[in-house]
Amino acid sequence: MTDETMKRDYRTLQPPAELKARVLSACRAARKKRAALRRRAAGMAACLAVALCLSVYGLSPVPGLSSQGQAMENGALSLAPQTIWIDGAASQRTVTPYGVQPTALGETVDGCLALTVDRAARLTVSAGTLYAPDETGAVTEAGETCRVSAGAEVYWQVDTAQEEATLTVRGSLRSVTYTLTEGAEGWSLQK
Amino acid sequence: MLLYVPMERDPIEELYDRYAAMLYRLALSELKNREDAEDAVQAVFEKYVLAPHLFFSREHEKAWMLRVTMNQCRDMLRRRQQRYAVPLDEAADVGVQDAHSEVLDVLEKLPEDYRVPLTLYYFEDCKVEEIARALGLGPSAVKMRLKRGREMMKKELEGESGHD
Repeated sequence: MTDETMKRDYRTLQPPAELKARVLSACRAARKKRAALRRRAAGMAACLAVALCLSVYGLSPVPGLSSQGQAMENGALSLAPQTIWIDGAASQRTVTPYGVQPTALGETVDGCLALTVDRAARLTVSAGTLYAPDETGAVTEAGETCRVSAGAEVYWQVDTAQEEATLTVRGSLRSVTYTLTEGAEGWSLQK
Repeated sequence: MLLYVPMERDPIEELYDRYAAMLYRLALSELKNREDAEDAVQAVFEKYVLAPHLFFSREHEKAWMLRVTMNQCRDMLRRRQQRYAVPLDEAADVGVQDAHSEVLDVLEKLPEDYRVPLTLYYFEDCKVEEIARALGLGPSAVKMRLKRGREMMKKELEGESGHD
């Protein structure tokens, strides 16, 4: 293999076209967060200055200054979860980075679909309930969010007579929605 | 000294067009997984936006992008190692390299110390100084790693063609 052939071969590896839109959208959101942070910092600095001025004159400082709890995700300050939808088909047994790995497709544990999630995520189902015994220990109803750690085992109890039951897995950078589908080999999760 | 200040006219799109392919390939060679490589690229651009820098030159900017990509890949690999492991017979195909490339196949056999400079120099046309800055090394060290990496790669390719 010649040098030029190797370089050509290597350079055929290109990011998918949809990555550009996703990156630009995420960066626009990041810019807005940065601007909001700056405004908040400026506002807090102004309030502090006012409080200091008032204290100099023997007046009470302005009450109610408190910091809002914010989630740290991936080391970046996040004011709102980012949701990016992924389109495209997925093979049944492939584990995607934000994928849900069924412990055994089509099988259930005590009437539940048993799942493991490969990284920290927030799960939401459109029907049924979620139960992560090693996490909160509470049952999460449809529409609510269940936070799980990497590798957590989750059980999804769902009435399969439902027309469509979906599971959304939200990671820090993107989310994936799966639809519970019955096939010849049993139940599976389709992206 | 002239400061190279990235333009504010939607600079990210221009930046993306300039660097994304190179960063993606670098991340892919490290992470061996397309989705993780995409996430790494996205994270790098987000970091750029959240902490914008003044760069002395385009080379300086490029070195920063490469450095942050390498750090991002290392962080992701470290987190990947800490993840839950399922028994082998229950596991689906996790992290299988689905980006087939003969060059990647050879590159991945090299240690990171040689793989990264080789990739950047021969396949991404980076200069020795840029690589040195990106990796925090002196130019001599980069040249030595290029030389040794090239020898290793040649051995691998000769070994593969011998088996044909």
